Amino acid sequence: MKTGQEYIESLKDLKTEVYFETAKIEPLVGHPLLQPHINAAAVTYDFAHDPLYEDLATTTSHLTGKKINRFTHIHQNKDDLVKKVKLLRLIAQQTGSCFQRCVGFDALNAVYSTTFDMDQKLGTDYHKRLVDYLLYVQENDLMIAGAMTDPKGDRGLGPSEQADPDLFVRIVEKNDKGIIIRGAKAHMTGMVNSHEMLIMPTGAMKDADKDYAVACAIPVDAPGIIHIFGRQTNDKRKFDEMDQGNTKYGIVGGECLTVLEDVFVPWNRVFMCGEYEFAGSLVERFATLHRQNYGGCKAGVSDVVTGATAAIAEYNGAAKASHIKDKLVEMIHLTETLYCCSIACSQEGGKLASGAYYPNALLGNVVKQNVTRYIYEIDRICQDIAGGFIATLPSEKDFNDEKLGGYIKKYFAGKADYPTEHRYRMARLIENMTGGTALVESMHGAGSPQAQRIMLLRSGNLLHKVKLAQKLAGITTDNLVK
Amino acid sequence: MIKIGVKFCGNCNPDIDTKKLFLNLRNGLKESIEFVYWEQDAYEILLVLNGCNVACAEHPIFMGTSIIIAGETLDYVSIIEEDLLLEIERKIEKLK
Ligand SMILES: Cc1cc2nc3c(=O)[nH]c(=O)nc-3n(C[C@H](O)[C@H](O)[C@H](O)COP(=O)(O)OP(=O)(O)OC[C@H]3O[C@@H](n4cnc5c(N)ncnc54)[C@H](O)[C@@H]3O)c2cc1C
Repeated sequence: MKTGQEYIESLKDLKTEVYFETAKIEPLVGHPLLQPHINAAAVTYDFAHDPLYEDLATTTSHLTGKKINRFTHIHQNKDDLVKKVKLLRLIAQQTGSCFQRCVGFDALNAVYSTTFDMDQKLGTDYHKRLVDYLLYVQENDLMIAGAMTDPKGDRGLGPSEQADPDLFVRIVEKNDKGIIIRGAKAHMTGMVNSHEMLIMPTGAMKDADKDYAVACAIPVDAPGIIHIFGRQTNDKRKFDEMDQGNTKYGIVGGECLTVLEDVFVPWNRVFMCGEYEFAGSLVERFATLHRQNYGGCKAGVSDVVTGATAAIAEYNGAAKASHIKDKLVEMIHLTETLYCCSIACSQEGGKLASGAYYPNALLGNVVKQNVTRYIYEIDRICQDIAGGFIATLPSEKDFNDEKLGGYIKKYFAGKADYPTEHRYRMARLIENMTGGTALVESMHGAGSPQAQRIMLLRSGNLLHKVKLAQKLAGITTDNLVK
Repeated sequence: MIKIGVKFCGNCNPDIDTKKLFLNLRNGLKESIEFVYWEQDAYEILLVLNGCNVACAEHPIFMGTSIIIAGETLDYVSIIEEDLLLEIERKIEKLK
């Protein structure tokens, strides 16, 4: 297992091509735009070596019997599912940010079980290839970006119906050595500081979409790949210190647009190639595994926001007010509700044909649906209690200026027991954690709210509920509502 | 005539109608199979009927072969509810 420092060193060996505002970012390691995200991912490595955290951060490989980093594991029982959630909450509490590595973890699990099903039905050997790949990932403790979301163009049209055929990643050539793919993947969390990416289709597909039904693994620096780094709210503050808020770990996952311009993938790294009838179930598996996470990581982030709220109330001199206490209780209640759902969907998980364990799909979708609402409410309460100065504070440079700094320290002071700098720092943390880019991730990451509602209808067993009501109403079972 | 032990889960929130499935199975195989309560008798095969894929039914200690239904799956392989009866019959036939 790699340490955080070994992970960071390993990134230096890659030739990942990343651009921001027209310029190539070189070197990646140490660059202010990227370093916070690298630091956050490094925590997933360091915790595996920390006796305090290793029970959650490591496990035993079902393939080799060796101790591995949990982020490279295939869930073997319900305990694995529960420990995943606990690990995510733990790391989010320590980073207050996205540490990115869950996406590839979920992708590995989804592709593992789906390739098993494909081989059973079609007689292919995708699962064996995936197992070989997994061994390589575990052995080298790699960070994998989970690459599902295509740009999608016209949302009313399928992959093969788009005006531009590249709006979903597709196979443009097959030969005896492998395949060549073209297209792009959007919103790629942690991609620029990963070792590899695991590509999956975005949605269910039809016969006409065959060329778009592709799953495969490629190094992030393979020829033909470029990454265009996304803007974040306040990203120029990454060149400052205090004004960033969360200086060490930043916010969200350092997302990018990954362009795949005729990229070669050898056959041993191809896990789906045209079997469109399995695209839907792969997406559903990935989505459930990923939605399971959000009551873990977002609960951890909300723990920090709740702590920041209590602290700023104290700095403001308002901590004793009953409405403040009541609002803090509400934040705790919402956070623990998110966590309950993640634990529940893990505990109610089940075994798949491959032997891998999988969270309960209905409850997993409830987790994410709640996240699209409760995080906004938690952050709303935080901003209410913090006060308007989180939106109007002068800059860090002025704070430290000889002439202006005195005025800022004087007029932004709160309770006399605390230095103004503490109030300033906490306000910046809140400003950056509760607005802009950080919020949108709770809405769309792991799928927009409607995607969960579709799953709730599908797995909600409505007919069973109708039968229950009809029975109590004295309506005979021969006359059921269909 | 072989004997099959049957165990149901608690059916708190079932995706499939395991009672109907069992009655149809028993009806279809009554000439060749005797279905018995899992705790009462000796049997060659154990059939565990779970209403959903959470598969809560505790698996009794049993050395022989089991068939696990968990929602729309048979031994963890997806099968739609309408096809489950036929697939269980096939499986039993293979195990006989
Ligand atoms: C911070 C962040 C990180 C992310 N990280 C990753 C990652 O690491 N890997 C990854 O694969 N993805 C990632 N995603 C992508 C995420 O899964 C998508 O944003 C999400 O699935 C929604 O897709 P979209 O952004 O294209 O929105 P859209 O699909 O455009 O959705 C916008 C709205 O349109 C509606 N809509 C869309 N299509 C239709 C339709 N056909 N009919 C009716 N309504 C429709 C939606 O319900 C929604 O309300 C990330 C997203 C964010 C914001």
